[in-house]
Order: sequence, then structure tokens, then C-alpha cells
Amino acid sequence: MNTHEEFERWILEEEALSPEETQRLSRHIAECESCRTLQENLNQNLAFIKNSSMIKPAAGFVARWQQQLALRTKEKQESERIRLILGVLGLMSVLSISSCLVIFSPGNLVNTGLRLSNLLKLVAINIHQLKTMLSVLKIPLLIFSAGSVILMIVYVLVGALSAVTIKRIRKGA
Amino acid sequence: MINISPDIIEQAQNGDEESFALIVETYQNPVYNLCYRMLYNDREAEDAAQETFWKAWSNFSKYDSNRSFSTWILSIAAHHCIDQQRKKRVPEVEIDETMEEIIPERTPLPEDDVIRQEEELRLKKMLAQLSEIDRAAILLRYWYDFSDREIAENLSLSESAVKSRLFRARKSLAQLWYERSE
Repeated sequence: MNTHEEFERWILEEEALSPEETQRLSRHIAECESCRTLQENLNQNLAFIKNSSMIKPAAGFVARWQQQLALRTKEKQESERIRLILGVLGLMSVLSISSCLVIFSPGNLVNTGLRLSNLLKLVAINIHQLKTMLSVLKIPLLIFSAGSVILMIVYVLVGALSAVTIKRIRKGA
Repeated sequence: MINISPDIIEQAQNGDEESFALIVETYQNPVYNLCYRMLYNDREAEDAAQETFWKAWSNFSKYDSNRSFSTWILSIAAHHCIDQQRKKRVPEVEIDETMEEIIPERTPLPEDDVIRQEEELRLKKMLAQLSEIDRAAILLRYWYDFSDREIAENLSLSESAVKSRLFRARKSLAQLWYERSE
């Protein structure tokens, strides 16, 4: 015995029914108004969709397509060119960064240190000559050193004051 | 469904713009009609149809010549329209206003216009109650006579999902008319 829901399912499904099932459905539809309306509505509705007219685009669709194609192809070419330029720039940046990393890598820094120590050795060897030079330049060098120390103190003070001011501004914010 | 010579498709696949223009000319109506029935707006349907052909042109290398060209091009159109619908989610009132604005732009005989307008509104109301995918499935089945398998391929669904979507859509459509007839 079929339930009402099963008959509804048969109406709404597109599966082919056996002759016996078709007969049972017909008998039910003759008795059940709800299922009869459902089937009529569905059939009317589907026929309406199938018979509806096809909407056509406004005249000149192909010409508009050809214009779009030309425009989009140009845009595509331009964006590809920009992408190429950006790619080259990116590659150059990567190369620059990697060269910096190589130059300033720890191994190279050791080499630089060794070269510096060799230079110092050279200075030590020529220390006597330096002493003589220093005795001559004693007073100007003293003035220069004192000036440097004062300049350094000024730098430190300005730095500290700036840090304090920034902190205050941030606290105020 | 319309069929086009495989030679023209092959020439278009090789980048021949003239052959592709011939394809556009052949398929403009079914593609535009699907877009219009999905979006219910002249301008958006035009944009969607143009976009469909652009996508087809740009991805022609992906087209498998063993597959029906109609199925492939309508699949692109359906997917594009589903995406557009999801993006905008137009309220019902807005669709009604759009319809009233659009229909008078076409100029058949006045009495034909009235009948057509009524039919269009009736159809629009029926389709508007369905989700984007259900609407696409119904249109492909009853307008373009697609099989369950073709709809499944077209909308990237399983065949059982297509069956259940069509069942739900038919129930929804029948119930709408049931309410109207009460």
C-alpha cells in the first residue's frame, strides 16, 4: 500500500514507472485532489518553461564581441608587459639582496677583519714614524679629540631627549 | 541544440579570430538566453554572455573536442552566472523593477508586448524562487534538453545531486502554482 508521500514522489520524480505503478498512481490521482493539483501544476509549469520564447541579444552582438576581443587582447598584452617588467625588477632586487648577503656574510667579515689586522700590523711597524708625526701634530690632535668627545656628548644628549619626548607623546596619545 | 563544424572549432582553437567570431554568431542566442534567464537583466546578461565567450576564447586549449561544444560553452555561461548571482544576491523587488524597465525597451506590437511581459514576469517569478544552481539545472533540462549526466558535468555536480536538485526544484515550482491556484 502506497502512502500519499510516495505518490507525490512519483509525480515529482522523472523516473519511468512500471505499468502497474502508473495504474496505481492514476487511481490515486482520481481520488486525491491535492495530488491531482500538484501534477497539473507541474505539467503546466514545465510546459510553460519549455514553450517560453528564447531571448536574443541586441543586434550587433558579434561586432561588440570583436571590439571586446581587440580591447581585451590589448589589455592582456599590456598586463603581460607590466608583469615582465615587475619580474625583471623583482629578479634584480633578489640578486642585489643576495649579493649584499654574500658580501656581508660572516665568512667575508672574517676576511675583512684579517685585512684590517694586517693594516694595524703595518701601522705598528711604522709606529716610530707615527710618534714623530704625533709629536708634531700633538696640539691640533688634542683639540680635534676634545671636539669629537664634545660632539659625541651632544649627540647622546639629543638622542636621549628625543627618546624621552617620543615616550611622552606616546603616553599622551 | 545547434552544432558547429569541427573544422571551425579546430581553426578557432588554433587562434583564428574569424572562426571564433563564427562560433560567437552561432551560439550567441543560447548563451545570451541562458544568461538572461539566470540574471534577468539585459545589461548583465550581455556582459555575462560576452564574458562567457572571452573565457571560452582564453581557455580554448582546455576544450576537449570529444565533448559537445554546446555543453562546454553553456557550462561556462552557467558557472559565470551562478558566480554573478552569488555576488549580487538581488532582492526580489529589485528584479521586478528591472523587468519593468527592460521590457518596454523591446518594441514588438503593443498587445504582443503585454502578453509577453505577463509571461516573462510569470516565468521570472517561477525561476526567481529557485537557488542559482537549481535554476541553472531546470533551464538546462527543460530549455536545452540536457541529460542528468550533462547537467552534472555542466554544473560540476554528481548525477545523484542533479536528480535531487531537479526533484526539489520541480516540487518548488509545482507548489508555487499550487499556491497561485488556491
